[in-house]
Amino acid sequence: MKRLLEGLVVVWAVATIAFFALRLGRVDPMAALLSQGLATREQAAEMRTSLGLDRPLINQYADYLDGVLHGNLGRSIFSGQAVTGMITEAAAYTVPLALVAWLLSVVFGIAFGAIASHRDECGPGAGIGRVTGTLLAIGAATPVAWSGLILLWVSVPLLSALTVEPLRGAVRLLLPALALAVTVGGSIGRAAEASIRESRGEPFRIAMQAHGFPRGIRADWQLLRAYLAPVLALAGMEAAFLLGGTMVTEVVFARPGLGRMLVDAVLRGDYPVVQALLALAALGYTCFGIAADFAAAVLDPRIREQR
Amino acid sequence: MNRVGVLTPRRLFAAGSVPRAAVLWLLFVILGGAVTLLLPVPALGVPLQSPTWTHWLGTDLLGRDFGWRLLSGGVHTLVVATGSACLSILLGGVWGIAAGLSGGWIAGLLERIMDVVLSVPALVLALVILAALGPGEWAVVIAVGAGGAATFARLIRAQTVQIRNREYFLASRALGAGWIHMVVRHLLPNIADPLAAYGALHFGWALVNAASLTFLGFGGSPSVAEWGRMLSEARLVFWQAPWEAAAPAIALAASVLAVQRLGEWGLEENRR
Repeated sequence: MKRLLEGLVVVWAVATIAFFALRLGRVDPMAALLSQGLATREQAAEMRTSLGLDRPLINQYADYLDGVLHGNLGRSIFSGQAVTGMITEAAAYTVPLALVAWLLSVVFGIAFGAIASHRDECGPGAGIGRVTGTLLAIGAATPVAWSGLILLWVSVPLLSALTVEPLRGAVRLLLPALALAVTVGGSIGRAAEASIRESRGEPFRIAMQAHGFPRGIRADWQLLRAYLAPVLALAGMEAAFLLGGTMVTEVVFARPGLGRMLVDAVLRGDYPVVQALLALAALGYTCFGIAADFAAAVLDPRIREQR
Repeated sequence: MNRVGVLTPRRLFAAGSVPRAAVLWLLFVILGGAVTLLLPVPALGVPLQSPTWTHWLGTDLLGRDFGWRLLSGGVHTLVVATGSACLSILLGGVWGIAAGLSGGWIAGLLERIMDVVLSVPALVLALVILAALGPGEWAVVIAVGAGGAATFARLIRAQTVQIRNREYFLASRALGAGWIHMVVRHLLPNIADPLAAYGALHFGWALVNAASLTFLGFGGSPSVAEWGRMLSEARLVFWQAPWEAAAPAIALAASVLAVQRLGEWGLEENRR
């Protein structure tokens, strides 16, 4: 409960900072309209008045807060659509993408991390572990734009070969998700590897071994509960940060969605949209953080004890 | 813990092949860029050539020599990343030390601000700062640097809190030393090693984010080569010349890996 309240304060602070940073900044929405020839000078001045952009900042801010408390996030300066509607529309594209990308990176990240954690042992596991570890490092260092381009290159022949509509839809979702998952999964995998190696040296594990529990990759299951907590904390953060990743992915794949909406809104100076998306990102961060803490407490009795 | 500075040549030479390869790669990028600054720009050729003897890596959509742009882009990319990493370290360092050493409501406030800033994805935060500043190369430096400051501040705060309770620190305080003396003589030398190592890791992060921002079209003038922008330009000709997207991407990934490995190696050395 306390966490939730703190989170709300954080969301409010982020929205406020976004509000003032944008209005004091150099991007003027009217300049964008003028340069695109969408409005004449008189129309722009008129719009500025009707939108209230010429009033003192404090008054604008008071109006904005009043609107937010009534569930009204304002309207886009450019399309005139309500921001809430725009966000739900775009989220229908971004949420599945982010969800699939996140699941892929958590599952593969932990699996690869477990394999890579065996690189210091003797036997055949060491070589495979070393290769996997290097792959994870490369994955974490790969720019999303590049993995996206490669997968885009794969997707064109794949899409023309497939004729069944559900399959085509799956490919359209899976490839951008995979592009994101390469980077995110790489960093989750590296965290998982470090965490597994650390928990392997802990006293309870040595005691288990003394009782005859096996070592090796299959035995990593027994460690799962012990090492998952820090990995989940990172995975929760990455889930919130996927918004940053979708900015690039959605531009590369020319998909509609929240990330692309944010890039466009920032470029054009569409204040209400940027404010709403930033507050949403902060809200997501808070919620995922709480969820990760909760999951860690369920999984690991040691964390429960500390509370 | 007296060994200040992670990268002394002797320690580097004693290290394995990975840090050495990393240093070689970074030197190659820097020297290659220096060469492009000293020599005249090659003449324009036919657009979208495959590799030839006059244009070793072919030409881009406007007929500019691609290899040349790759080399000079490397230096720009590294300079932008270095600038923003330094800014992050400086801002985050002051912020973190202040939060770690001061007590009471000031420390509380500084930590709350950290929470607020950390709750926004760093790339998104950089984008908003960029929106406030307007696009441009220096704006990217400031945006990425300020966007990453909070992450760094949290690390420094954790280190500072550890040092703050050590005996020598308390002794110096009991002897009546001033804040500046204590920070410069006792705190900084003792957090310098982890600071440098985390700085290297942070540098890799700055590299990716700066390139992402220029990829999205927020960089400076399009005539200046930069890996992120080259990647974005190469999208147009991806079918005719896929290597023009591959080359800057691989160079970028290699640089990030090199810097990260150096940082990790530094952290490991530090633990020994």
